[in-house]
Amino acid sequence: MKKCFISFIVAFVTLFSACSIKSKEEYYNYSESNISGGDSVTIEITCLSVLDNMDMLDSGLEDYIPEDGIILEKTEYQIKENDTVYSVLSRAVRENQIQIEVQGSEENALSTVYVEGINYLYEFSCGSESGWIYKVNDEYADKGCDSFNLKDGDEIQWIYICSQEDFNG
Amino acid sequence: MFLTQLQLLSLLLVNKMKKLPTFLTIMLIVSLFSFSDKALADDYDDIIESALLYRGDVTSAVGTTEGDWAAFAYGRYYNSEMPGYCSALSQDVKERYKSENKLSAAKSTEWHRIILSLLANGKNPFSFTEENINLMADGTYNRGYTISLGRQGINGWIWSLIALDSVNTEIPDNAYYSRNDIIIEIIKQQTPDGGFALSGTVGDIDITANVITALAPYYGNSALYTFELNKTGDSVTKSVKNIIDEALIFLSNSQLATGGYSSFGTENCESSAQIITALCTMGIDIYSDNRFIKNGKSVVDAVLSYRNSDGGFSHLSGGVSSIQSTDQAAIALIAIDRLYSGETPVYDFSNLDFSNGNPNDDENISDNQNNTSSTLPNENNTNKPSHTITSVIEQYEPIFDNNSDNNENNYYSEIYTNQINSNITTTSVSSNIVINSNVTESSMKSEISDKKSISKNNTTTVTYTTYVTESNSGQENKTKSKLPLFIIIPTTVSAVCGAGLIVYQNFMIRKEIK
Repeated sequence: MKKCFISFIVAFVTLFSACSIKSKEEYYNYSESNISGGDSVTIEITCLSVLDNMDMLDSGLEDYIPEDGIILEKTEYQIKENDTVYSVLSRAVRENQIQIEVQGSEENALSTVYVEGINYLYEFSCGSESGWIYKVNDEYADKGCDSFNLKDGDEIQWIYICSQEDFNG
Repeated sequence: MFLTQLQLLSLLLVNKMKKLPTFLTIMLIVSLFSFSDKALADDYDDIIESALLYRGDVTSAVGTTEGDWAAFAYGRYYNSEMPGYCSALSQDVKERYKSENKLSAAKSTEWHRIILSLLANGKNPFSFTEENINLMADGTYNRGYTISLGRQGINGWIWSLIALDSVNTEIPDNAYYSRNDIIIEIIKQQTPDGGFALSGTVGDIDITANVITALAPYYGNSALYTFELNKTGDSVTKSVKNIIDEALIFLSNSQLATGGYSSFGTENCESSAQIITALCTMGIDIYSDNRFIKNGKSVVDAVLSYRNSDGGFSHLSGGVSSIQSTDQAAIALIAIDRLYSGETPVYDFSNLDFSNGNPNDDENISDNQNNTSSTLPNENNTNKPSHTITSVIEQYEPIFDNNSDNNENNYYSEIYTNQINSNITTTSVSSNIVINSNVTESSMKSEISDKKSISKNNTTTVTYTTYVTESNSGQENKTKSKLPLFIIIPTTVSAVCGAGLIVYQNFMIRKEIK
């Protein structure tokens, strides 16, 4: 009986120590900002174009559009050597509890990560030319966000556009 | 042709004439040429099969762009179902249909792609799964009751038309869209250069190619559409033939020196592949039509240059094989195969018997007429988008002189509009083409009647459009290909040589008898 009891305690302690119990805030405040100082980038997420095209927005989404069109203002993140635009975006939305939906690279024909929606805004949510694009240092990249390797000082922008003009502008 | 070779060769063997070497040499050389067309088809078989092998089993990606096109290519090529694909797709569709948006909130192309891959794998898109889901209705002619086909842009219209015409879909009277509605929405988006694009005023290669693929069945249709161009606001009157001809000019002018094509400034495999599929659907001879040969290079030369040793195709020249490039190249090569062996275009399954939308498949044949669960019109749906065809209609003067003495077909068309005065405005196109009495029935082709009736606020308007396709020599069957010269010449030469050989034999026999 005693043996049984002891083994039970041992098992319980082992299990308990193997689990990492966090509060909700601790989980979402995961940040690598205390890693070896040095390289960092900034990221911002905006949907300003939607404000000019509210009539084309899918009904029910009005509540998710911030009044100033800024979903995430410019925030700085420390980066490691193999960080990509996607890895930083992942961290940013998790930390700020922003909804995101992503199609993994094995799931699409182009074999890249495809960001389907951020903050409930998806492709075609605001008209037939609407969707998410990203820029680094004010330039469009012709590669998937999980292939874009970052360097110190890069400025990432995730922008929701509603038309070709927004893309060129 | 093959048989002629055998007969001639057997004649040679039986014949003991000594003076034959010249004939024999000629015959052998000629036979080599005659076999070349068969050799061509064999080459693509290897390439297609290795591409399909590269893609392998895509069942895990069922219901997505990544999986469905490979399954489509597999089914289309082997004429048999990719193992396990249809049951997996059935599960996927049933699961997605449980949600409010079903296959997609914005993209009707989810339906279109799945419809095509189902057809290639031998299933019925009008009644899929044991829940008898009518994917065709939900994704094409009734989609408008949920959301516009154009929600995602021109692709929604293009692929709905391809899906509709993949089988002989009979659009019911209470449908939201008619074929004309869809055609007009496509052609309204033509860019000033004659092409088509997702956005902007410059034609894009891939989109233009897909528009041609979608409109190809209407090339011989003489109906005229009057509509307002989205990009310029100009009002124009054109037939589908005009539009396709203009688009072909745009494509011809856009071809690069390599024989290939660019999209968004990058020369790539997919653009060439889509061009091939479009040209083959039109029945154009891609090997010898000068419009699509540059520097002696054809589009086929271009697409084959992206082939890698692993059987896949790369997006960019010299790149690694990619899923999308391999799928589109495989479909293009299958399209070529089908054209030169006299089969229907690659998206055309009209030889399957889905009369009145019902399958001729034993397991589904019962209860299908009344049992389809499509999205029915909901009069209380306040989110109904306004259904407008902004066509500017005019009355036409006679096109030809009705008093002409010759026996040519004379006709004029009178086009008018009916408008429903309600909070939803619809402008419909109706045309009656009256034929001069000199025209005999035998010179007339088919008469297509598109009837739509809309009931709103106790007012019913029925519009009908009647087209007459005049029989046109050489255009009768778009799926038949013109035999290329390299097939005709060797055949003729072999026949002539064979005849000559027989005459020579007879002459020698008589000489011996004497």
